[in-house]
Amino acid sequence: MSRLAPLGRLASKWYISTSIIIGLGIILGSMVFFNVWPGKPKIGIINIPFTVITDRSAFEIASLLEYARLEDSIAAVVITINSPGGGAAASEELFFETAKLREKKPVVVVMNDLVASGGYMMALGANFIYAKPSSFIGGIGVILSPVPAFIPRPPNERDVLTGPFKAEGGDRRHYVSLTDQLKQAFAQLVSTQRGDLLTKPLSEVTQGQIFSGIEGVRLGLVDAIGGRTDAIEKAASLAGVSGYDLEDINTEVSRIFNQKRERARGSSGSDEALTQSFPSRIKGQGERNGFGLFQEDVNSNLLGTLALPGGIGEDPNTALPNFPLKINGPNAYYLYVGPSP
Amino acid sequence: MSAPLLNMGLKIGLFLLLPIVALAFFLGAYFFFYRGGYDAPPPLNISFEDIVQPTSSQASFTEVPQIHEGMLLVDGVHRNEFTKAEISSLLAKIADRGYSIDIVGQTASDGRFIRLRSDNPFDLFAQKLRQADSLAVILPNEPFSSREADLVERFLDKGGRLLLIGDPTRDHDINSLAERFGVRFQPGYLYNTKEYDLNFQNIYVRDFRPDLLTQGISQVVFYTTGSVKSSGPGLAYTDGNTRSSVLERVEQFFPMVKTSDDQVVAIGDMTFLVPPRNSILDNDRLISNIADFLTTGQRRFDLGDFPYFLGDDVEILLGSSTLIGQGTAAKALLTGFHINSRIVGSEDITQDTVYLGLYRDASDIAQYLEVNGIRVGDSLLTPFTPDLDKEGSGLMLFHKSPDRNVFVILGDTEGSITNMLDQLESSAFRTGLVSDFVGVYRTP
Repeated sequence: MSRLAPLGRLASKWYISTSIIIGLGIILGSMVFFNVWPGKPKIGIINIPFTVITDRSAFEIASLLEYARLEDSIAAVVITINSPGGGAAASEELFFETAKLREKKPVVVVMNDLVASGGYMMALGANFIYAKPSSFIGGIGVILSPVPAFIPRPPNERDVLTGPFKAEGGDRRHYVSLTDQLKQAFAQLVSTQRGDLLTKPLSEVTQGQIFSGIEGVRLGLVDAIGGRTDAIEKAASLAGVSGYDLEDINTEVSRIFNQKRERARGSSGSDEALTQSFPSRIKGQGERNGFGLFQEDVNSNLLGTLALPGGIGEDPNTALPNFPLKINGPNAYYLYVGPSP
Repeated sequence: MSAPLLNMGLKIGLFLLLPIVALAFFLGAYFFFYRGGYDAPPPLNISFEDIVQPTSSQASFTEVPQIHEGMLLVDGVHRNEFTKAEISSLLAKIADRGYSIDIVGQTASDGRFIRLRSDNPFDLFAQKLRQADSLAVILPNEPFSSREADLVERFLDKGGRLLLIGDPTRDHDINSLAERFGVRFQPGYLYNTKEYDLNFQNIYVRDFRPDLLTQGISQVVFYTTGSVKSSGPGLAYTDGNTRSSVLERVEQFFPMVKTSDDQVVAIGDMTFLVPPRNSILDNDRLISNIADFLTTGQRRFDLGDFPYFLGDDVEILLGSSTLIGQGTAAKALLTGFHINSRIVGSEDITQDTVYLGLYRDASDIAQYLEVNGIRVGDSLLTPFTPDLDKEGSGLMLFHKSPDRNVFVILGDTEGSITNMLDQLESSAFRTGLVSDFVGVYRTP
C-alpha cells in the first residue's frame, strides 16, 4: 500500500487526475464509436468482371447488393461493371436491386470496357455513373429470339390445345409487338433515371447504338469520366463520410459463405446440408473464370454437380422428357452482341 | 465555500468528466467520419402501365378480278428462299384472275426449295418458261447463269412480264438476274425510328408514282425492305425519316421500282406478302395490283415455243391421206403436252391448226406461206435463206393471226415429215430455226 502512496499523491494532483480521466474518456468514446456504433464508415466495393447477365449471375450479383444494403457499416457502394447485358428479366432484377440499394445508401457505378444493354440497365439504378473514355456503353434495346416462323406450324392430331396461341403464345406479329413494348419499358427506365440529363431526344439514344464513354457523357447517359478512385470519392461525398475504409464485398460475402459452408460440413460431414441451406447460391457458380461469390477455396465443381432437391432450376426439356412439343419459346434479352473494346 | 465542499465538487466534476470526454470524443469522431447525411432519391415510380403499342389497321378490300388466260411461272430452281405458303396470298389472286400457276423446283418437307435433282435444270427452266406468260423470281439463293439470264431476257423481248422480289432478311443472289434489266437490289435494309408498324424495320410508304401497280393505294407497310435502284422510275418512295442501314446520308429510297419498258417490277420485301401482313393497310390492294400486272401482259410466242403457242384444242389438217401415220404421230405428240387434238378433213378458220403436208400440197396453205414470204416452187425459198433444194428437206412455219395460230410442217416426203415430228419431240427442231417463225431442216 505504501508503495502505491506516491501514485495516490500524484493522482491527487488535479491536473494529473484530469489527464487520466480525459484519456479514459477518449478510450471509452473510441471503443463505443469504433466497436459498438456506428464504427468507421466503409465504402463497399462490388466488382463485376465480364459477366453475361443470366438468372444465375444475377442472383449472385443481387446477393452482393443485398449484403451491401443490409450491412450498416457500409455507407456507400461502388460497383465496377463489365457486362454486355443478358437476359431481360435478370437485367431488370439487377436494376431494381441497385435502385433499392440506392434508396438506403449511395451507389456509384464505374463502367469498364463494356457496359451495354442489360448491363447499362443495371447501372441506371445508381446515383452516379462514371465511364472510361474508351468504355463501350449504351446498346439500349431488346432482342427477342427465337420468334415463331412466318407461317405457324399446323396443329398435330395427337395434341389438343385450348386456343390458337396455346402452343406458341402468339403469332410472329404479336411477338414483334411485345418486343416493342419491352423496348419502350427500357426507354422508360432511361427516361426516368436520366431524363433531365439527356442532351438528345430519348428516341435517338435508344436505338441500340454503342457509344464511347466520352460520347456517353456528352449525351447524358453517364455522368462523368472517371475511374475507381473517383467513384470511391464520389460515393463518400454522396454519403457524407470521410476517413473511410474500403470493403471488398465480393470477398466478404465469399468469406461468409465459406464460413457457413464449413459449419454445415462440420455438422453433416458432406456438402448436402449446404445444398439445402444455399440451394440457389450453390447453383449460382460464377459464369466465367471463377467470378462470383465463391472463390478459390470452394470446390465449385463438386458443388455445381450436386443434384438439387425438388428439381429447382431444372431444364424444361429434361424435366419433361416425354412432353411431345418442343420447348423452345422466345426469350427476351437486353444484350449487346457486337464488337467489344 | 468550505474546503471539503470544494473538494467534493472537484471529485464530482472529475467523475462527470469521463462521460463528457467520452461523449465529446464520440461526437468528434462521428462528425469527423460522418460529415453529412445521405439525401436518398425517392423510391422508383415508373409508370409501365402507360406503355401501349398502337397497331396498324387491317384494311378490308374486295375486288372482282378480270379473267385472263395464261400461266405464271414461279422460279424454284435456284434454291429460292421462300415457301409456297408464304406467297399464298399472291398465288390466290393470280388464280382468281384465271391464270394457272407452275412452281418449278423441288421442295424439302419444310417447304423450302432444295437443289434440283435434275441432270439439266437449265433445260427444265427453259421448257417451263416457254409456256409462261409471266415469271416470278423470288429470293433465288443460287445465281442465274448468263444463259438463264439470256433466256429471261428473250422471254421479256416476247412480251413476258417479270416480278423480282428480294428481301434483306434472307440470303439471295437476285442481282445476278436483276442487273440484266437495269435493276439492282441495294445492300442493307430501310428503317424508320420515328414512325413504324410495331418495329423500326417495318416502314410505312405513302408516296407513289401513278401506275397500275399503285392504283388505289394510299399507304402500305413493308416489313424489312431493301432499296431497289432501277434505270426506270421508282414506284414507291420513302419519306425523309426513312434511312438505310448501310448509307450515312439521308435520301429517298425506292422499295419498289418498275423498268421503263413496264415489263419488270422489283420489290425489296417478300414478307409483306405473308399473312397477316398482307392485309395491313393497303398491302392487300398492292398484292392485287401485282397480280394484275402479272396477268395482263401480252406474251408473244414464236416457233421456238412449240407447242405452247397452240391452244388447248387443236385441229390437225393433213395435206394428203398418205400422211395419216404422221397425223396420228402429231396427235400423240400434242397429247404428251396435254393438248387435245383431232385429225380433220377441212380447215376450220376459228381453230388453232397444225398442218402436215408435202411440198406438192403447198397450194392448200398458200395464204400462210405468202404472208411469210415463203415460196415453194422448184426450190424452197424463204426470206432468211438462199434457194434450197427441196429434196431431203423440210420446213416449219408458225403463222400467228389475231384469232388463231397455224403451225405448218411441210416436207418432200412422208419420211421428212416424220423426221421433223421427231425433232419436235426431242426439241432438236430449234437448231433449224432461221427466224422466230420459220425453220428449215435437212431430213435424210
